[in-house]
Amino acid sequence: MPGQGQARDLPNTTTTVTGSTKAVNFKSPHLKNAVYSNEENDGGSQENNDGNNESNEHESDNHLSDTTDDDLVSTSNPFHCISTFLDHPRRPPHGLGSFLRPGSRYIGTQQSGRCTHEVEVEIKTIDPAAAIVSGYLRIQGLTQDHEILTTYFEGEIVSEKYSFFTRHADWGASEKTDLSHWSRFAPFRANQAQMRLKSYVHKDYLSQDQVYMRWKERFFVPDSNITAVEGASYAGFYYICFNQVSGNISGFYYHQRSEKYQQLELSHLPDSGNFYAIEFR
Amino acid sequence: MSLDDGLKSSNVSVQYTALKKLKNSIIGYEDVKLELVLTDLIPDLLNILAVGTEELQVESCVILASFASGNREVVSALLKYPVIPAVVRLFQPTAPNLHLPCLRVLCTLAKTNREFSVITQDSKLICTLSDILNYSSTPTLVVSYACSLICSLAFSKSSIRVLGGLAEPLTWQLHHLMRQYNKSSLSHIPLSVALLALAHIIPSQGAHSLLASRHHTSKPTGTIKNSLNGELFIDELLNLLRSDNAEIRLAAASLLASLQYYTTVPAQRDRLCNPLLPTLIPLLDESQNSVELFRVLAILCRDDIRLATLAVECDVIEKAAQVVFKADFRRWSNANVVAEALLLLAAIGLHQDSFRSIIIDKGVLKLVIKIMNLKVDRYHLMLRSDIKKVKVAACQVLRALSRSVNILRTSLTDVDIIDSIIDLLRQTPNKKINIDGVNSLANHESIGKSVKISSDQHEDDDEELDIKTSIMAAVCNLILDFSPLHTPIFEKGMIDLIIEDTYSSYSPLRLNSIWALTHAIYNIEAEQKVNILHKIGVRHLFELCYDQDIEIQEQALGFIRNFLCHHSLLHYLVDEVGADELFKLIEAKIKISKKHSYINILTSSIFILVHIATDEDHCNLIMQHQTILQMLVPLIVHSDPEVRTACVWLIINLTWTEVHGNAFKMQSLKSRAQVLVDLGFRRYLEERSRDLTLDVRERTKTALFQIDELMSL
Repeated sequence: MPGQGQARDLPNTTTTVTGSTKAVNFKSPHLKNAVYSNEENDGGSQENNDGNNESNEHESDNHLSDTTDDDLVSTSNPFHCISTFLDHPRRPPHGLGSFLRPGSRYIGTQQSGRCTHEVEVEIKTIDPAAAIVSGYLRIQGLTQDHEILTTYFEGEIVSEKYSFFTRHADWGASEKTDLSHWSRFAPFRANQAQMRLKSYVHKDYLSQDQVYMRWKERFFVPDSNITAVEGASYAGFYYICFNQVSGNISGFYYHQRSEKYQQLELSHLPDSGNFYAIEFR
Repeated sequence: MSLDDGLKSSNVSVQYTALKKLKNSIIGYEDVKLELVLTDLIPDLLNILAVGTEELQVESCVILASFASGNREVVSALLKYPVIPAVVRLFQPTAPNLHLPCLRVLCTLAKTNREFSVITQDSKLICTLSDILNYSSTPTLVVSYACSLICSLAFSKSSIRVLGGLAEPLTWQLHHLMRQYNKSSLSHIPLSVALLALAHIIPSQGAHSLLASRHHTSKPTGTIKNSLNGELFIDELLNLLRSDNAEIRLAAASLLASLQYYTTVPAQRDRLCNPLLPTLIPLLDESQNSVELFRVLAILCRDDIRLATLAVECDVIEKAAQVVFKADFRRWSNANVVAEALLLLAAIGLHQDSFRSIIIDKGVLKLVIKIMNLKVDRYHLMLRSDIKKVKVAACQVLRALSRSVNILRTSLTDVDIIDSIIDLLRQTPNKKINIDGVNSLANHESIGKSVKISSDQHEDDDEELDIKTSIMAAVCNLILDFSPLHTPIFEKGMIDLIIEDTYSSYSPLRLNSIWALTHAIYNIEAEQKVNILHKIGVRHLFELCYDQDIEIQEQALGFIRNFLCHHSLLHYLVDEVGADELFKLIEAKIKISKKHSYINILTSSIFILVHIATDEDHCNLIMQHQTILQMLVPLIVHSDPEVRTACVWLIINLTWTEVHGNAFKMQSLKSRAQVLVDLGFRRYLEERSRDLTLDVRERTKTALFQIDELMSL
């Protein structure tokens, strides 16, 4: 082993001592984590965030993009500390526009034969990236024993992840029933030539006026253990067309043994931009 | 001559003989070790370390290493003496012959004592390790021990921060070892331990440097023959995944898992990650006792849902669950592996309900609750750290499972869960932030400093708070309005416990506590919101808005945002501190967010204004703070659509006309619209009417319509 003062045969690493901490001078192309250490020390470089929206729209692919909250992830090695192991990366939920967010509420009706039932829907969670949504559906006067019945539903958004064709054998829908229901929505009919194709992939759904979904009720609320209520069933599912511009929702309930084309019509309850901050931990 | 006399002798050769005799009498004899360690022998050895010749120092180290490898009683008695500082003092770049004996002592002690990481604060130790790693001629045994020591020390945030300074010499040493290994002139041990060491300490800068470099990453020194090409280095790592040796495959996978964590380029992440599961899952079939294996799988599954999906398809949930089910919760013999298996389940459960359902169907949830409730009896005090780790990991599983409305409503309904959580929260005493002398809200810097100082002081105690931190993370989900446990949490007085932890000196706990409160007031009645605000106190809430930890600031602002959401409760916030203090806070947060692009802070700050502006009487308060409005004008074209949406909603609310007819009110609204136009909002909004984001575009149309209608009066 070489003694003191002898030339090193591996490249001489430059060490700098800061307090009790030593840091090797790795030449980083972007020292993203500096924001975490001291708010006042590394400012001035982010001012360009104001403005020039158009150029920033496609920034997500840019390796050297500006520091954001998401960059706070890398403050420690991934092997570190299990109590904070799940903290990052965070996946903050952003609503689907102003009308489909956690806490968004809709009121309207469901037409069932000659009866019209008042319906209220409250969105509980939405994950636009995963194209899924969940919420409560309250229906009034469906049975005599239960004035209001509430179910929890989960929705899949027609997108690159979910096709117009229902891929759940246990939901009982065929391609024919899929198309017959989607075709009842006027905006679908306008573009149905391509949308009816099996190979069709519904891309960039967020930028389109209509968002198509399937809502499947899963269980009753508050008691999820109740499996049946006489006179009511959630065995089927809804084909949904949500208008992002107006906030209106149209839907048709489908179940093999239920009355066909029970229509759901809902309007967004104005909330003046009262949007809660919520993010699963 | 007695042993004691021999050790104390002034004659080197007598001392040497005594040391040899001592060494031969203890190696392999646990009872003799215990007997001798309880006498005054250790101070004699430490004296030799301090003033003896190098030959004697080497022998003393060998003896101390033997004691260090003794049973818990021996080690405990040994550590009553300042053995560690004495050895660290000896561990110098100028004394290479002592490197190996010193490292043997330090490695042996570090493996069993977590408190040991404090030695990383000794800059000489880091210098010596750096020196050892800098030479390719360093004996591989010394390199192995040095890397092993690094691995053992790298578990706390502070120690990793310091050890990160060794990443570059370690990278070069690793590069050298890989070439030797490829030439079949090296056994697998030094290479695997060096790979693991780098995986555990590499800081983001080091990782980015490797990931970004196509050429050399270090300036030429004139003495080197080679240069380190990051891409080739990664190629070599990928090649090691095909090594015949399982330890090498796992260690290479560990380093690649670390690197993928830092990459921001999807194609690069795919390149690093794609071969990892095919490498690791067969290892899981061979051995289910590797802490490292479970951790690497957990990192990969946590960071990438695709990999989590593949892992689920390969039955990893079943394999990890089996490790937990087979655990011996009496003797805690494999606590570390159990903890890592639980962590892997948590990492998988993080993503989606179908995974969570499989975990629950395997019966893991019941076991998790059981683990949370396990009491540590006095026989297990020595294992407290390991047991704690299992409990922390169990809490992480609960947290991951609770990230779903479906699971909350169907599987997490038992009120006993809340009792278990309250027990855990009460078991660990809190350590409060020192905010003495910080009474003025205006003195924000002081608040920050006091928190920081306090955090540093208590960092060594942080581990004690890990269980609380983990369980509080689960509470963040369990407390939401759609959770059946929401009401019991309130009824059983847990809010008070949560508030208490917002004062913790441990920032991860402070963060989770304020996060839980932000969720506690989600979608509840105004009266309940006010009740919680009174308990937490507006001053303390504002202090949290200026916390050193940016995520705590974010959640504290989220609390204010949720407090004002759907309810006109502004006076409860400003009665105590005054409206100016609130607007000063918002201004400061917008300013700092613009500077550093803290999107979530920016969004919450603007939505606080949006919520204030839903009450017509409060709109004028906002209009009085034109500095804030001026700051908001350019944000209408901010790159983040959520920020743009918030800005547009503010304008909608400020120009909202409920009823036409009151001429005075309409003129007042017109004046308000004029101010907004003069500030430039209309001009910016016009640009947004062609916004690429549909929602922003549509809401902008409403805002413009309302402004124009008022201006036409």
